[in-house]
Amino acid sequence: MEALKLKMQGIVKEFPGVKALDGVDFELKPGEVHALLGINGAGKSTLIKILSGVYQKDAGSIYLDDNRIEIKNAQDAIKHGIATVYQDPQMISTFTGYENIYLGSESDQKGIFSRINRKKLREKAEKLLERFPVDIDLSRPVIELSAIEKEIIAVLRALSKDMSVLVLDEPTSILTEKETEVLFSLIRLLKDGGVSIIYITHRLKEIYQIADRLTVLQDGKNVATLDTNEGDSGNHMAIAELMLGKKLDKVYPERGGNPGQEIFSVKDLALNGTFRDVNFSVRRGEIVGIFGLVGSGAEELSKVLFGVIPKTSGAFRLNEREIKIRSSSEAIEQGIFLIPGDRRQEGQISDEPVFFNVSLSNLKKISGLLGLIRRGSENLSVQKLVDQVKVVPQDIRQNVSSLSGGNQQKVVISKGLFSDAAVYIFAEPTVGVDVGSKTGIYNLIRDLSNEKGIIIISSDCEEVYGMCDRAIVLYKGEVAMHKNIHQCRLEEMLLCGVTGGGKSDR
Amino acid sequence: MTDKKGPSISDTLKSIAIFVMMIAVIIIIFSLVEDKFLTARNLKMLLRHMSISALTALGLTYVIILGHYDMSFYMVGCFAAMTTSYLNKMDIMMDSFMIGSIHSFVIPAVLAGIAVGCAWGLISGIAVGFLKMNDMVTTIGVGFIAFGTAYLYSKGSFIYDNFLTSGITEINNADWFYVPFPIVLMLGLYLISYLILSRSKFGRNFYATGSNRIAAIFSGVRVVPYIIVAFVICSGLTSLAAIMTTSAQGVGNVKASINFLMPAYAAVYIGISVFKKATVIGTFFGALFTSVMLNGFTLMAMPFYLSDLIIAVSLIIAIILSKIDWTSIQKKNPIPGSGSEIAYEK
Repeated sequence: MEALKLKMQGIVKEFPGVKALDGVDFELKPGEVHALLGINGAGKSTLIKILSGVYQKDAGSIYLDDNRIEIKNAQDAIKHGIATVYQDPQMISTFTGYENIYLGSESDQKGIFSRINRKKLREKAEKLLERFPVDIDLSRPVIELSAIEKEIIAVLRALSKDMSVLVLDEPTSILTEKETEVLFSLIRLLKDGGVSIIYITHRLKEIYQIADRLTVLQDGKNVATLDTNEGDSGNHMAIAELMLGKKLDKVYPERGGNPGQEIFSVKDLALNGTFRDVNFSVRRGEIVGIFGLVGSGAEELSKVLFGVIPKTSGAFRLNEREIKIRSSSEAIEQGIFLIPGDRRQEGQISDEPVFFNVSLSNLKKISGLLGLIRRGSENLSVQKLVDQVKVVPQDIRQNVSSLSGGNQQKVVISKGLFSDAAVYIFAEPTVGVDVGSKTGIYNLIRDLSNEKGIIIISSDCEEVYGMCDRAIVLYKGEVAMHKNIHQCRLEEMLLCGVTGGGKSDR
Repeated sequence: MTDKKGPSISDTLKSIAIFVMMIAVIIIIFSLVEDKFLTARNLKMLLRHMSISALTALGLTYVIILGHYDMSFYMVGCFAAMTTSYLNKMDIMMDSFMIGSIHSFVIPAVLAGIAVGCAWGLISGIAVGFLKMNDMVTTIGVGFIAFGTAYLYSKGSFIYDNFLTSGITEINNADWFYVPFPIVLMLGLYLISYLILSRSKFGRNFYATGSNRIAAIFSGVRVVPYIIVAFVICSGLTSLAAIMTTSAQGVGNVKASINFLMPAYAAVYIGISVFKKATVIGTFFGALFTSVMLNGFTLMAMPFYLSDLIIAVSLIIAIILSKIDWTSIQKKNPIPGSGSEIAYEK
């Protein structure tokens, strides 16, 4: 049997309330490109973070060249020759390319005052670059470089440190098609040089272009490892099924009856360079779901609908009246509320109590003369909402930071309800929410749809499929699918989101 | 679980009790060392002196709540004081009548001083809030421009003219029901600020903007106007304090408020060290604390540079104390769902 470059065996990682990895096995042969696939939350990122020393595994073992190794921190990973290039490589934007490549290893000499020989560094960096058929000016600050050039510099940085395993985490999500080609040729060169590569992506199409094998993770377990020539592109559907598993159980509430009149509609909405030609309408009693992966423009769409990012063109109609949404405060005044995807950054003020967070969206409602807040009426109305939404614990003087993820999300939803909006947009409504609370949040959204217009924007295909009555799939900024949910299958939807519709790439 | 709760009435009372005890201890020590300390005359002096630094610190509180810093206000105060002094001098040429014991022109002179002070704050506020320039560097720049401009009124020399005749000194000397006017003014403005920052919707938006600006925007708060207003209030209150100092000194001095910077930061941060966030009540006690210290040391004939040094040391200690979260020391475990440990799969 052929020797393995890297072997991960029985890897377990638990987070409070979630088992992110439940005994994952993963093997990497020398000089192969091995793709790692899985829907959001399947455990891909957790697995590579364990490999690169960001997280520590709870159980399991890692072998490198048949020697058992322990990776306790990022330095350990580098020492063992494992390098990771993340989605959006972190660099010092005012430093030049070669300075970034050798950041932290400028000089062999110890001591703070040892001289940095810039000329030598640049020559060394250019020598590294010579191996690849690309031309980058390494003397320019990286802030002036394009996405692919930064990506290459991140790879060069990894190469500069005597590395044999390279992890690429969704490297193409911010690249154009042409840039992706450049990256692929680089990957092939590295592969020929004997480097083993773990390649993480959402885009199935790419896997057949670049990977030798693929492993599918689902719900913290590895469910299959296939050779890519076996699974030619006709097998897309089979892989989509593997990624999803058979676990569409009763997490999702029953759908409503016949939808009522139109509440909100969007016409020809576009944001330069991100998405275009988005059209849909939301009716009372139905949920519109928008599924799109990172780079599809879905996240930006949620912010454009809420006025945080100004649109390039298009029109909004609310209750049969054309409206303008130029800022979030204007959106809320008009009756549109976004429950944002990045809860800790955008949704909640962690250091403040629950009541502070909830009432912030509509302080007018509880303030009287001279803008003074009527505390009694605030407590009453916030408490009522918190009880209705079932936030635990119920004490509204509790700081939001002390609540669990699910309850934090419920606080943000309460804040939305407090604004008395007519349309609610939920972006990634269950990210960072434990399984137990998910059902509660889904039921809440479904109940809300009886009176309000609901839009769910998510990169979780299952969630969109399970919740919505009408599904829109975004792929690289284009509407790849817009169907009634009864007319499409989940696998079809996922496929559409990872390949852009299937027809074009056959 | 009580330690994780948000502020409640009892927490505020606890913090006030800590302050009262701290200040009581210092007062006892001073009164033992110096018999003149605990006299009505001295306490009146103390409060009078406190009213100046307390007003400046109150203005700074608005800026600090937003998470910004203002390094311009003390120099803006100099400009405001010189503006008022200059206009007060012009009073000789005006046909002004008497209102009580002051000339009618004194009132617009004072208001104009405060208004130009606010204008400097407006510049800083627009630069920081709207143009998103760095607060520290911008306000240092704006402050020095204001200070430089203040010299133009008299080329830097003192303005004595008309000070003893126009009645401007009454701002400092007048009593309202046996309480000196500066103290009344301080208490009144603190009460108003307390209502704004701790009891009104505006205060909620100030604190929200300071705690998490992005989340505030996503909650519909228009954050930029709040930033601008905070800088205007900071400069305006400092200008008022500087004008009061000028009227107390009886002379227009370019350096009227040049040493306001450190006591204001000391007051705000001593408040934060006990209350764990910038509050009106905390700043009030912070200002009282520094004033008691300064007054005591002055009575003991300690040279001014040493008392400055002691206040500066207490500022640094306060900053260190405000960084320590006493409740989290025993429990190092991350809270589920809120720490960075949670898996955010993207």
